[in-house]
Amino acid sequence: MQVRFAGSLVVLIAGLSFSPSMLAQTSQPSGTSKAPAGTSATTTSTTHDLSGVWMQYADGTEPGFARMNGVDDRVRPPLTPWGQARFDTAKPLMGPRAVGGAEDSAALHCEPSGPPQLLILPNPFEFVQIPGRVFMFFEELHIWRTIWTDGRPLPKDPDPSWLGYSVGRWEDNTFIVETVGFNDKVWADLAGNPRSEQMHLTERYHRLNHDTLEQQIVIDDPKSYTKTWVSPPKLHKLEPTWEIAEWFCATSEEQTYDEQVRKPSGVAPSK
Amino acid sequence: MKGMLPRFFAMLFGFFMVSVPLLAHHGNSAYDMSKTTSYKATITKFEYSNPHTQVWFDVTDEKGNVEHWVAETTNPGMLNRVGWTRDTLKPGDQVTLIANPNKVGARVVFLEKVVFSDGKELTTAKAF
Repeated sequence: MQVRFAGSLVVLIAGLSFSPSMLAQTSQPSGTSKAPAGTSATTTSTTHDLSGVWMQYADGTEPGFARMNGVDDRVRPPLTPWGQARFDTAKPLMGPRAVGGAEDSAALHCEPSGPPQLLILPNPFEFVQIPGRVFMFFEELHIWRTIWTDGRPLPKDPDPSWLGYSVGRWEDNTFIVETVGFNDKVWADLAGNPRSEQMHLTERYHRLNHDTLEQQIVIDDPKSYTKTWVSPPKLHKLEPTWEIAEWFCATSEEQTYDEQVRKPSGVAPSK
Repeated sequence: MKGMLPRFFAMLFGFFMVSVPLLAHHGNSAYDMSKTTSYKATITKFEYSNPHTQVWFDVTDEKGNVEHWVAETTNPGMLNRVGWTRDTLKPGDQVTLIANPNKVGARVVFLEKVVFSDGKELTTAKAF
């Protein structure tokens, strides 16, 4: 009996030794729903730890664009001829060129998404950190992504892929993710701005306080754009009670929605 | 001056309430998101599924003519977080739907809120 009690005590002490940082990530009240005013204060519990489910803040952009300007086309540099041709042929989902019922994109065919578009959609994602890597689990399409943090360099000649190949490092309290090896099958955003196989994507994540994460996306894609595209930082809020829900793109559901709702939404009724 | 602070917070609250998460990867260009229309609806089908939940409903005009409509909204994952379930609506329910109208007049709209017969309301999203 004494042995069992001693054993329980050891487990309890071990639990208490590890629990403060975990509690800090999951149980602390969210507090205000307003974004903080530019403070860069951090605490020990949030330094080098992004764990948790994050959701974009509302930001007051015009209806239809709410929350989707992590890649901000208001500051987009000029397109290259290749980029312009891609942009011109796109049938975008958002923006002034979008036509209801006539949209087209990889997502409408149940194809995967990828950064940076995947990063800007108004659905939550979760950071999970283990030694040597960080995972991002996205609710949108139930996609997950690996960011290697074991010091390995970016690959020199990676095969093109939807998610690319990502490595991450901490510089002070900012987690910097660099990714190469993209394909050009998905847009950078929902307005039809392209990405190419030459894209080098940089994401910067900085925790302003326990509940608020600042994300900045920088696109260096010389095949698509004449300059580096630097979007303003975007704020995300920690949602300690949320779980990432299942959201696969099921072809049957997608086709039903497409035929019965999306396409008819653009057809005026006959008189 | 005295009444300015409450007014400011009321405006701030309103600002966040209208900045709801909208459609994800399918766009919303078919709808006039700056307007809302009210529909006295009889539910005919409730499709609680991805990529977008669909509320199918009938509207009967003054002459007794029945029109068939559908309102789409965000996905079940987001709706669950603001109080919806797969049983929120069922065929035969009589409710008022508040939705963004269609730009070209198609009977496909974007749902913002349901008002039930007992006066209770359920929005499709909230400010997070």
